[in-house]
Amino acid sequence: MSKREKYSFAAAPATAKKFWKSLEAKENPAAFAKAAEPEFPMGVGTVEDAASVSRRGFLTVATATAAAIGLEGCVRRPVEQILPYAQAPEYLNPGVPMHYATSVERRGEALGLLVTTHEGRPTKIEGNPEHPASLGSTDLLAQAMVLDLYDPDRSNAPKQGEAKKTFADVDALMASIVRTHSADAGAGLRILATPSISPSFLRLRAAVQQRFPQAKFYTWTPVNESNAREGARLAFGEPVVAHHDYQGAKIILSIDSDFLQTESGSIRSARRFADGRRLSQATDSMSRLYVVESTHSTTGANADHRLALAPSKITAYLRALAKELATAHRIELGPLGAALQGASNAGLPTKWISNVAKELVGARGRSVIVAGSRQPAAVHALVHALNAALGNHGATIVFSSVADTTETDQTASITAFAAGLEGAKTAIILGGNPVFDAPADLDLATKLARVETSLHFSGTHDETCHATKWHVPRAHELESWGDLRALDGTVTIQQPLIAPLFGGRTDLEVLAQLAGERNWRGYYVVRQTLRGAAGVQNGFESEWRRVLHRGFVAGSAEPPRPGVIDMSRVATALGRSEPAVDGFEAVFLACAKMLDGRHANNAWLLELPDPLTRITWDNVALLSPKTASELGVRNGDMIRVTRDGTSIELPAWKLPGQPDKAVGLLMGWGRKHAGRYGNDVGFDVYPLRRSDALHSAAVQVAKLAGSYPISQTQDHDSMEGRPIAIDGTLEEFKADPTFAIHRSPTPRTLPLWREVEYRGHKWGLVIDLGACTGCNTCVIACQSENNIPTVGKAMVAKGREMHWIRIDRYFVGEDANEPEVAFQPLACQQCEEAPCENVCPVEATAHSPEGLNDMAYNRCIGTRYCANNCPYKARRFNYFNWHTKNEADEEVPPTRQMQFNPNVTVRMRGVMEKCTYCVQRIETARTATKIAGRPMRDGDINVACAQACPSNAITFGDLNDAASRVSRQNQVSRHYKLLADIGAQPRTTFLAKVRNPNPEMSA
Amino acid sequence: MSEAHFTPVEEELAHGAESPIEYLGERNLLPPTMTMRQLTETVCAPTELKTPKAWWIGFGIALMGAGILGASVSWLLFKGVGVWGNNSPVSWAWDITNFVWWIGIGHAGTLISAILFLFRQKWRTSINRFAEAMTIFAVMCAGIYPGLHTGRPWFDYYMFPVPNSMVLWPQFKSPLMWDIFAVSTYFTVSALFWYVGLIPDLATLRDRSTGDTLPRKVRRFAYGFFSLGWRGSNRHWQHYERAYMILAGLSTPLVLSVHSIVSFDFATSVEPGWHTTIFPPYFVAGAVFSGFAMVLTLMLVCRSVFDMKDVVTMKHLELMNKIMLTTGSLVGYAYAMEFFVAYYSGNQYERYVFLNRAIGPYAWAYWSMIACNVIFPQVFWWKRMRTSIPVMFVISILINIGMWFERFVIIVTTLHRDYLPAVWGMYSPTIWDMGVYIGTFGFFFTCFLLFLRWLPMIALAEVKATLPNAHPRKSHAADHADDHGHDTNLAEEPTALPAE
Amino acid sequence: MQIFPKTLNILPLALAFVTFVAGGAVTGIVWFYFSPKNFQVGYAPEQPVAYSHRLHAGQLGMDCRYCHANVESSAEAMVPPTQTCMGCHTLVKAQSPRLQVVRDSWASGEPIEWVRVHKLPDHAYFNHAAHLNAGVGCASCHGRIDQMEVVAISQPLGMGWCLDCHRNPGPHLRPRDQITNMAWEQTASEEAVQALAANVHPPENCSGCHR
Repeated sequence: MSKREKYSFAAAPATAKKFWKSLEAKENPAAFAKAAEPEFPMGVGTVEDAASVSRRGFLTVATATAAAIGLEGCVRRPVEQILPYAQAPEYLNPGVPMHYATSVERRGEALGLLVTTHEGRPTKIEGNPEHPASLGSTDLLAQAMVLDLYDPDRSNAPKQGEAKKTFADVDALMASIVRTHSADAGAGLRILATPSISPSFLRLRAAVQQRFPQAKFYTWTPVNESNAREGARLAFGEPVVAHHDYQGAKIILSIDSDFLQTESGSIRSARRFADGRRLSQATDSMSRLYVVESTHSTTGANADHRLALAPSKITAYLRALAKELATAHRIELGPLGAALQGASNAGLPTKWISNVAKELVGARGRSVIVAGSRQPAAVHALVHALNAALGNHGATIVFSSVADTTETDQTASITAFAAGLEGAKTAIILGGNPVFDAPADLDLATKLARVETSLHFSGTHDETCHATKWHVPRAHELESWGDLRALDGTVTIQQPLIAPLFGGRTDLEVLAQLAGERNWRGYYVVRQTLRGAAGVQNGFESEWRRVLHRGFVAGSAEPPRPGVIDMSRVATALGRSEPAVDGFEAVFLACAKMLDGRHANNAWLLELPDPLTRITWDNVALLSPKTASELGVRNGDMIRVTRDGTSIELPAWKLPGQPDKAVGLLMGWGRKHAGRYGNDVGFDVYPLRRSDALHSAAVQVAKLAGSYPISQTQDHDSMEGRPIAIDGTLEEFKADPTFAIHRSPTPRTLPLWREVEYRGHKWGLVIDLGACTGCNTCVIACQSENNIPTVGKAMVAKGREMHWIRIDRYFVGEDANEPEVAFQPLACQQCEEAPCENVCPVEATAHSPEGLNDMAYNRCIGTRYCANNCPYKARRFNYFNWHTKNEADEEVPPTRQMQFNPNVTVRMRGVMEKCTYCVQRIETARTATKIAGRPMRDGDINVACAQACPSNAITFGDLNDAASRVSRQNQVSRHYKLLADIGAQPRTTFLAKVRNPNPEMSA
Repeated sequence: MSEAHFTPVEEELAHGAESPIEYLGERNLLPPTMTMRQLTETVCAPTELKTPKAWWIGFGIALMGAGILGASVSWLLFKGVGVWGNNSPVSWAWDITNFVWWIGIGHAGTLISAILFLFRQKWRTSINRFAEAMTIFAVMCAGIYPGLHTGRPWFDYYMFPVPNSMVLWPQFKSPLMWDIFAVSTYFTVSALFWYVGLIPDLATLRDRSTGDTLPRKVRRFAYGFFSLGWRGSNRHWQHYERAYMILAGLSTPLVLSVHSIVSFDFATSVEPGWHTTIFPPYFVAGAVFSGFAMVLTLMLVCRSVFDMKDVVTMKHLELMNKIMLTTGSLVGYAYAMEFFVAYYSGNQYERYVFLNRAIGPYAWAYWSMIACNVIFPQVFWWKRMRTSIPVMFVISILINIGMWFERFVIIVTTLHRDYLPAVWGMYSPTIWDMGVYIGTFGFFFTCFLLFLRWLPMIALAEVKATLPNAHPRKSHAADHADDHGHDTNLAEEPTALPAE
Repeated sequence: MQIFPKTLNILPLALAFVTFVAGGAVTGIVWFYFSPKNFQVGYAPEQPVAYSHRLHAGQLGMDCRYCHANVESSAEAMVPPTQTCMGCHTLVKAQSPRLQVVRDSWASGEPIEWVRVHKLPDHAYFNHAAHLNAGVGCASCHGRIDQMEVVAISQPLGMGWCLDCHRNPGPHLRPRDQITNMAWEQTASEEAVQALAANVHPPENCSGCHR
C-alpha cells in the first residue's frame, strides 16, 4: 500500500465508559493508522475502514486500469487487505452507521444534534428532533462543523513558542501555575474565556474562584449578546432572555435584527416564522414582517416591507415610532412618554412611522418588536417597553433567565482584561481568538507578550497562540464532554463522537485541573454537575444513560415568565443617546459563514456563496448602488475605509438594499493564521473595530486605483420577467389561490417516449418558496452528505462550482435601492421526461422505476451533453480530480477523506454528477425495512437538504402515498412546476412565495 | 466516357454528336492545345521533380503545428478537460465548435466527386481529387474532437456496441451515437471513393518511375502496390467505372446525412436556439459553403505554386464561386429565418436567445459571422469579382472564418444564457483550447502537403476524358503522335474505344 | 510495368478470408478471456493465517454466522475480530505455532492483515443483509466454501452475472433457514420456486447498486 506517512491518533481517555468504549477501542492507533492508508497507491487515498469494504476511490482505480479498460474490479491490483478489530467494540456493527446525541454552542444557544458515525468517524450532523433549540434542524455552521473536525491544520501538539511539547508538560505547567497562585491566592491569575452557557463551566469557575479568591475571570466574544443583556437589565433589573413567538405574531417589527440567520436562536426563530406564513388555502392568514435595518440581511430579504437606515438613524426611528405610539395611539408608556418628547421624524419616512404604529396597535398582544444585537442597550430597553405597552409580554413574548447571570458587558470585560494584564503573572485564554478579534485599540498582542506565563487553548495555532507563550490544543466540540444550557434552560449534554484526533483539552478539563478536581476529565466533570443538577442520587446511572440517549435532560426547561418592566429606568437610559452621524458609517456585520472568524479554514463555508451577494471565498465592503455611483466605484474596485488614522483597504460591492452611506463590513475574514484554506482569504475589518463603538462607527471612504477579482456563483440578478421564482401578494393569492400554476402552466404535449407508470414508490420533493429564508443550510448539508468537493476561488470564477443544490437569488422590483428578494433552492428536478437521459450516449443517466434520474458515475464518460440539455443546469461536471488534487495541484489532505460518506461514490475527474434525492438513504431505508419486514413509511427517509432546513421549506416523500406530507404539500394551491412549459415534467414541485405587503405603505 | 454503361450520352456519341463536354453544353475546360502528354507531365511533375524548398518550409511549419497538437492533447489527457475553458453552463465550447467546423470543411470533397459526378459536371474533374483529399484530412481533424472532449476518453469505447461483461449497450436514442456512425461511415466511404479514383493514376506514376536506382525501385513498388496491378484493360475500366459509379451513389446521401445528423446533436435538444427544425438543411448548406471555400483557398495556392493554371482554369474557379454565392445566400436565408421563427413562435426563451446573439455580450461573434458569410460573398454577383484571384482568395478565407464563428455562435452564445438567469455565465478559451485548434491545422497541412508531394493532385484519367482528343471520332494518329511510346500504358489511353 | 505476378490474383480472396477468420478469432478471445469469469474465478491469495474453511465450516460444521456474525444485519459480511478466534483457541490448540499470528494480534491489539478475496468494484454497493434476507444462500455467490482449504473465488462476480439473478431470482432463492447450508440443493417445484420469488423484487436500475 502507499507510502503516505501514518498519522498518530491519541489514545482515548482512560476514563471512558459505555458510550465511549467503542471509540476507545476504535482509536487503536495501529489499526487506525492502517485504516488511514489509501487503497490505491496513485492516491485518491481513501480511508479504508477497518473491517468494511471500502466503497470509495473506485473511479481512480479506473484511471489506473485504463490499460485494462472496462475490467476494473476484475484484475486484483493492488492486493487489498481487511483489518478486523483485534477486540471488537461493543455495539459496533461494521457497515452500519451509529447515531449519537450531542450538542454545540451557538451564540448563547445550545443546539441539540444527532451525529452519524461510520466505524467511529463522525461524517454527518443533523439536528436532534426532540431538542427545543434545534427542532431537528441545524444551521449552516453546525452542518459545516464536521469539516472543522477534520481540518488538516488543527494543531496536533502543545507548543511553547514554536517548540513542540507533550501533554505531560502541560500538566506540569498547570501544576506549577496552581502552586504559584496558591501562594498569592490567585492575585496574578487572569482567565479569559468565551461567554459560557455550560453549568459545569459555571460550577468549576466558582470552584476556581473559591480556590483562588483573587483570580479574575473575563469573557469575550466578538459577536455577543451584551447589548441585549444590558437592555434587559435596564428594563427588568435582571438580564433575561426574550423568547419571541414569531408564529403567533401577526405583525413583526425587526429593529436591525437578523433573527432568521445570524442572531441567537435563529433556527427556532426561522421555524416559527415560517410556520406563521404557510398558506395552504385562501382562508389562511399570515404574519407581516417589517424590517428596519442597517444592512441587507437574510431577514431583510424575507421582509414584506424593508427600510434601510444608516445605523445611527435606527435609534431615531424607534424613538419616533414610540412617540407616535404614545401620542397618536395613546399607548401607556408612563414616564417614558415624557422622555420621548424630543424625538423627531426628521429624515425618516413618515409612512413608516404612522403605518407601522397603526399596525402594531391594531395587533395589540399579537405583535412582536425585536431588536438586533447590534443595537445599543437603550434600544433594547425601549423595545421591551413598547412590547410591554402593546401587551405582547406574556402573549407573544416570554422571558427566561440567562445561563450566567454574572456575565457583564463583553466590551467592558475584555477592556478590563487588557488593562489587568499589567502586573498579571499568568494569563489563561480558553478558546476564542481575542488577539484577532478583540477591539483593536486594546492591543492585546503586546500586552500579552509582557505576561510571564500565558497559555492559549485553541483548536488551531491561531493569531492568539502566536502572542502567548504557550499553546495547548483544544478539543473540538465533537471530541468533548460537556453540558450546555439552552436559551429556554434545557440542560443539554455534549458527548464526544471520537477521541481527540490530535489530543486536546476542553475548557472544563482545564478549569477542573485549576480547581484541583481529582477526576478532572470532562466525563467526570459533566456527570458530577448533572448529579448535582438533576438531583437524582439513586438510579443516577440509568438517568445518565437516558440523558445521553436523548441528548438533554428532559423537562429541565425553565418555565417562561412575563417580565416586570420599569419604565422610568428605561426613560433615564433613553436620556443618553448618540447623535446621528452624517457622512459614511461602517457597520460591523456577523458573517453568516465565518460568524466571527472561527470557521475561517472551512473550505465548505469559504466556497459557500453569501446569501445575498453570492460571493465566495471573499468578503467585501457592501455599498448601496447609489453610494457606489456617488463614489464612482464599480463592483470589485478597491476602496479605503478610514477611521481616525486606522484604515483598511478592501473591494467595494454594490448590494441593492444596503442603506446609503452605510459601509457593511463582514467580520472574521483575512485571518493570518487560520490554515491552508483560510490564510489571507478576504479582508480583515477588525482593525476598525474599537471598544468605544463596537457595532458601527463614522468612517471616511475613498476610492482607490485598481480593482480586485471576485468569484460569484451567480452574476445575473434579474429574472428577466420569466416565471421562475414565482411570488405574489396575499391579495393575489386570495383572489386566485392557484395563481402560480397559471403563470407556469404545464403544456398538454404528447410525451416523446412511453410514459413510465410508477407502481411502487414515487419519490417527490416539494420546496416552499414562502418558507425558504435563503440561509444556505441545505447547500452545506448536501455537501457533507454527498462527498461534494470544493474547487477553489479560481474555479468558481470559471463557473465550475460543484454544489448539487444551489439557492438562486433574484432581485425583484424596479428600484435598485429597495429591491424585493426571491430565493429559489434548486437541485436536480428528477424530470419524468428527462432531457438529460435521452442524450447520454452510454446510458449513464437512466430513469428508475421510482422516478429518479439515476446517475451511474462509473458508466459516465463525460460528454457533458446531459448538462447542456438540462434546462435547470442542475448537473455538475468534475473538470479535475477535485478529491485528490485541486487545480493548483495541492494534495487534498487525508483527514478530509475521513469525513466521506462511505455510501456515496467519490467521483473522479471527467464524470458528471448531480442530486439523486439522496438515493443512498432511500436504498438503506429500503433494505432496513425489508429486513424488518414492514413497508417503508413516510418519514423513514429524509433527504439531507430537507432534514437540515431550519424553516422546513423542503419536504421529501412518496407521492404515491396519499397520506404522506409531501403528497399533501404537493396539493397546496400555490404549487407549480419550474419551466413547466418545456414539458420535461419535473418531479420537484415549488410552492410560490406569498408576500404580505401593507397596501397603505404603497399608497 | 467508356461504354461500361450506356447513358444517353454514349448513345448520342455513337450517333456522332460533338465531344461529351460540348454535348453537355460546356466549352472546353482546358485549352484546346492541351494534349494528354502535357497533362500527364504537368500533373506528375510535383511528385517526380526535386522537392521544392517551399514545400519543405511549409512541411516544417505544418509539422510544428502537429507537434502542438500532440502537446496539447497530452496535457489534456494528463490533467483533464478542465484545462479547457469549458464550464457550466457552457459545457461545450471550442471542442464541438471545431468539430462541426472541420466536419463542415469535409463536405466539399465528396459533394464534388459524388454529386457533381452523378450530374455529369465534367469541370469537377480538375478539382475533385484535390477536394477529396482535403475532405479526408478534414474529417480526420474533426474526428479528434468527439474522442477527446469527453471527460474520460479511455472509456469512449462504451459508445461502441460491443458485447461486454456489464451486459450494457450504448444508448441508441442519443444523437451522439448517430454522430459516431454517421461520421465514421462518411469517412470510410470518402476514403474508399478517393482511393478507387486514385488507382489508374497511381498506375501512371508506377509506369513513369523507370530506372534502377533504389528510390526509383521503392517508388515503383509503392505505386505498384497501391495501384493493385492496374493494367487499364477493358475489364479493368469496366469494373473501375462501375465501382466508381456505385461509390458515388453511396456517398451522395452521405453528403447530406452527415451534417444533418451533426445538426441533430443540437436540434434534438431542448435548448432555446438549438431546438429547431431548420438545422439539417441549414447545416448542410453551411457545410458545402465552408467546404468549397476551403477547397478554393488551397486550390489557389497550389495552382500557382505547382503551375496548374491550364488544368484548373478560371472557368473552374468561377463555377466554384457561383456555388459559394448560392450556398452563402442559403445560409443567410437560414439566419434570417431563425430570427423570424424565434419572433413568430412567441416563445420568450427563443426570442431572448436570438436577441442575445445579436446584441448580447457575444454580439461581436455574431456580426463577424454575418459579415463573413452573408455580406462579403455577395460580391460574387459581379463577374469581375468572381474571376479575380485575389478577391476570391480573400473571400474564401473570410468565409472559413465566418463559418467558424457560425458554429461558435450556435454553441456558445446559446449555452451561456438559456433558461435560468441565475446560472448564466460567460466562456473564454484557454491556451489549450487554442493549442488543440492550431494543432489540428498543423495535422491537416502535414497530411495535405504529403498528399501534394506523393500523389497526383489532379484526377489524371478523368481529366483526360474531358479532352477534345478523348473524342471517339478523333484520329488515332493524333493520340499516338503525342504518346511517345507510352502506348503500353493503357491508362494513358483516354478510354477504351469501340473497335473499328 | 507490373510488380504483381498473375498468380497474385488470388490475393484479394485470401486477404478477405484471413481478415474474416482472424477477426473472428480476436473477438472470441477478447470476449472470453477479458471477462470476470476469467479474471475473477480462482483467485485464492495466501492468508497470514492458514485458516481452513474446510475444517471449520466443513468438518466441524460451524455455521457461517458464528464468525461472520452481523452478515444478516449489515451490508458487510464482517471478518471476525481476533477475539472470536481466541474464543476457542485459548483452549483449543492454544499452543499451535500455526496460530502464532492470532495470539500475537490478541496480545498486541494489532489487527490480523487478512487478504481480501471477494471484492466487488468500489462503485458496486453489494449488501449482504439484503441478499440473505431475500433468501440468497452464501453458497450461491461464494461456492462451496466448506470444501475450500484456501478460499477462492468461484463465481465471476461480474455485472452480467449479477443481472442474471436479478432478472430471474427464483432459481437462486432458498428458504430463509437454509441460507448458510452449503450443501443445499434446489429440489422444490417450479411453482414453489416462483412462490419464493413472489415478494422478492431485485432492482435492475442503476441506483439499485450504484450510488
